[in-house]
Amino acid sequence: MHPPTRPPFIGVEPFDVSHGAGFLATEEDQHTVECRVIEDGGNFRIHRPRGAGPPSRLAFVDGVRRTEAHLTRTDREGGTIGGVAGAWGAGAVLIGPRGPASIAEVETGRAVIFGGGRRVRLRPHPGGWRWLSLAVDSEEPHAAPQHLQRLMRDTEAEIADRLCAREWLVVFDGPLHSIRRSRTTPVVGYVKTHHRRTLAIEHWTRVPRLGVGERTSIFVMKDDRYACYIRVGDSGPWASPWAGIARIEVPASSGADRAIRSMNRAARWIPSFASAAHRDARAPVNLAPVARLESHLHHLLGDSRLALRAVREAVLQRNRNHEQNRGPRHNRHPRRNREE
Amino acid sequence: MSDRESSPGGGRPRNPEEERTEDPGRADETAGGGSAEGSLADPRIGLVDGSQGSNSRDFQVVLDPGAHVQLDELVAVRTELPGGGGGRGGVESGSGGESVGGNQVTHYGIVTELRSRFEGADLPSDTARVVDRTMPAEHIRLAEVRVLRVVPELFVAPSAGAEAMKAVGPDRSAALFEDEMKKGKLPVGLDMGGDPVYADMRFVDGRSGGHFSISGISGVATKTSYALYVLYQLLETDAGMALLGGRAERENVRALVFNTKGEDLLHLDRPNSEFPARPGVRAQWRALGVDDPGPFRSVRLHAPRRPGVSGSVPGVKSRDTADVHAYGWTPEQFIRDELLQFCFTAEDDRKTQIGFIEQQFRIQLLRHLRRLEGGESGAVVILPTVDEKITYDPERLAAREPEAVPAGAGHPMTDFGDFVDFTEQMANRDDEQALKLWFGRTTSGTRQAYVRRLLRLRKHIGPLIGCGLTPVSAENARLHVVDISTLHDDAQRFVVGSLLDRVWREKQGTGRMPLRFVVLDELNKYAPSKGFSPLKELLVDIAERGRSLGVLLVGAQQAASAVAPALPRNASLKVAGRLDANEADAYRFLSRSLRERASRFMPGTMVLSQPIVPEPIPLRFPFPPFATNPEEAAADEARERERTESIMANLGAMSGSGAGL
Repeated sequence: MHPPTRPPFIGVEPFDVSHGAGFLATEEDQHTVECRVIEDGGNFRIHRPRGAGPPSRLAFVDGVRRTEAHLTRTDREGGTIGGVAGAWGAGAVLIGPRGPASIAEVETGRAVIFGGGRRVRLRPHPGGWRWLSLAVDSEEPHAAPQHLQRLMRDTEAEIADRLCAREWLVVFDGPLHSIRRSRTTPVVGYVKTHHRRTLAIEHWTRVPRLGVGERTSIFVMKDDRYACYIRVGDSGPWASPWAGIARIEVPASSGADRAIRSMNRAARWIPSFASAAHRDARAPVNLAPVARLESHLHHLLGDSRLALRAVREAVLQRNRNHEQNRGPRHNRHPRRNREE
Repeated sequence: MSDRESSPGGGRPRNPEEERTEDPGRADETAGGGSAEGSLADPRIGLVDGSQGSNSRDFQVVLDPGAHVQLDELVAVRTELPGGGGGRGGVESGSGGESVGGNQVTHYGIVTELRSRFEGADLPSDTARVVDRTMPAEHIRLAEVRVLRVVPELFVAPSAGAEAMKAVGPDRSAALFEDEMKKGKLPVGLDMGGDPVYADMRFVDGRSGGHFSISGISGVATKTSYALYVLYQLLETDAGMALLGGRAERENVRALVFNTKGEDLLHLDRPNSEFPARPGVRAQWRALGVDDPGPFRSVRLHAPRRPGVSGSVPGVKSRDTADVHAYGWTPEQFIRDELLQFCFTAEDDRKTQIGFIEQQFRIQLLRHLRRLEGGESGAVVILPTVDEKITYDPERLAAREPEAVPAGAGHPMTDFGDFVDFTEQMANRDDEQALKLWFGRTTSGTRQAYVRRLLRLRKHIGPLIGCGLTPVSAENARLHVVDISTLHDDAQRFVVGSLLDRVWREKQGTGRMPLRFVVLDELNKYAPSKGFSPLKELLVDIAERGRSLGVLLVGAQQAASAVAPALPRNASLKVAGRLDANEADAYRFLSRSLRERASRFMPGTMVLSQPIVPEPIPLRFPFPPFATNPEEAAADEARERERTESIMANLGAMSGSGAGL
């Protein structure tokens, strides 16, 4: 259903308040870059792509991460550097030519990350918890959590690349610029929130007129990707005009023809995966397969309370060993624990 | 990415999906081959569910995608115990506790329920999304398993994640305790997979237990058919006979079957005409150890004499009267076997003093009994008075051979009518002393009620008593079918009571062997749950003591709750066919789910509970090779008639040609 046409009217943002607003673009933002429309002779149109049949060889890729413990490392001089213990996971939902949609390509990892370039090693916990020991050079407090985010994004990008190489249409949950590596494969980025106006105001105001299954003309963002808006689903008569609108992006490097093909398919297929308002706080734009994949990944990361307990025990063990190996009586394993 | 490469096996939770579905497109192409291999070569069906706890009584198996599992299948799970040792659980190490020090136990169980769901779908509407492929979910199938046995006998829970196997070969035997059945095992049916299920012979022949109790709605529960199946296995197969003791004991084993419906069981000695057309039935019998199934070979048929006809012509329609023995009792047998007690077995007889009068009268008859001089065999005379010193002990009186006296010495009796007349005369006498002797201190109203009752019985029981009649004898055959279907309820109870009493008396003091089997349908009619009668008392006595005396009851009833509780309680082998859903309470030996299932059982499906197997096992038994009603025997009859006619024709031709010569 389209929003009422007679202004002014009030709308409710579809997102649950805990997720923040979905529409944040103010009309007079100084960062606003009005993108160039490259389709339809530079005119802004609304398209209804046809054909393509039912979804086939379509993949949704997403990841999750979780900080499980904040850590500190205090040296002899009393200086303290922060770190985190955390886990990440990424995977894909595959909609093949036949058979049920399945979760695949799942990878998870767990690491202890410290700033200041010092790695700290924790011994594996008998309950099955193991940590990679990683370090970032920066001593900024956010550096370690950001690295965790990076690890997740990299894993997602790898999975997306792999599936792209196998000719799947990959829908990546999030904007493409968050992928460090995969800027060259024809991955479709899927953006649910609108932080900035991207089009000339007369085009921008026409975007909410999109119907389900339609897309806008394609425009170029920052010269490295093509993008368009689609309406994923109907958010109800109370909804804000931008509720149910998402932006899809394709790297420019894949070529305009291929980009248009990918976007047409995505615009046709994605609405059938829209989530329902009663079961997803970010419906309809938070896609059902993605929501399910996220909950599956969270599940695979294990119980967060057990993870914290394992970190505590491993840290305690490490400090004890360290203490014993320094003491004169227990100096039987001098080579152990040289690495911190 | 170096981070990721080092992570496998690190903090990475195991995820079976990773190995399985890299690409559903490709996975689909290989799925066919994979599942076939999973079901045939590998008995593994899945893993013990770790998301729901398992316990020592039941657990859940998450089935492998290719596993074919149905209800009642037997499952084996081996669990490693902490604190190793060298031993192994399972059948290799035998049963009993000798390998307690081992580090492995095997749980044997039976699948009691199966479930299927989408894991990851938590709202009903998710189902459509999963089917439309807009939501990923994994199809999960679960099997609920109830533990039958743990070997060695250590009551631990099967480990979460342990492999569950189909119990085949030695595992299947162990699951069903066949290794415990060292004193012989009787094939009691086929499980749902077509493999034989055995009962421990010790619980069939009375050594440790005895009696069958078969319950189920008539028509669909096939109670009688099942009883006959068991008798066939015991009496007509070499393996069955071998279970019945030494040669003499085997030869003297007897089964008494009461036919209560139509003339159905009067054809057991004939082949079943529908048998050859049944697909796979020979293979079923072969699986049960019977290579050449056929009719019962050692059978005698008994029917009451045709009413309204003097002499002993059996009242049968579907069989030649020469094939059937007409049974009955002479007045002398009626009195000396104290059969009067079985005349008063109706519900309302037990609430009055009629039982008391009957007892008094029965003993006086014995005391005053004389044979009729020169009369037909079995005719008696009741003397008006006897010496007061004569004993009142019925057993000693019955054992005494009566002297013969002329008809004028007292009241002669040649049939039941004479007896009723005599009773009526006695009741109407003015002699206070005689009344006290014959009727006790009862009022004239009670006496009249007693006489009225007897008058009513004249029509029903009358034809069964007469001179020259011979009772059912256990001679000359192993299986004796006694037709009571044409009799009134009172007469049926009279016949059942009289015959059982005889079997019971014969076995007192002779020991368990040779065995006597008694098949009796509609047990609720003879031993109802409420009230009291000599017949019920006799049946309860047989149920309680019969197994040690070798009298084994194969009782059947529509609803166990309608029968005196002692009967089903004393039955070692409890069998149920289709049950009435309202009757569920009486079948506590079945789990709730099995009770629910039993209310939908198809004919031929039963569930058997036996003492050494802790869970009831559903089973089927094969179509009978012997005729169980006149229609099934019809073809055989036609063939016989054809043969007779051809012989007659030949004879005619011969005599004709002879005349010509």
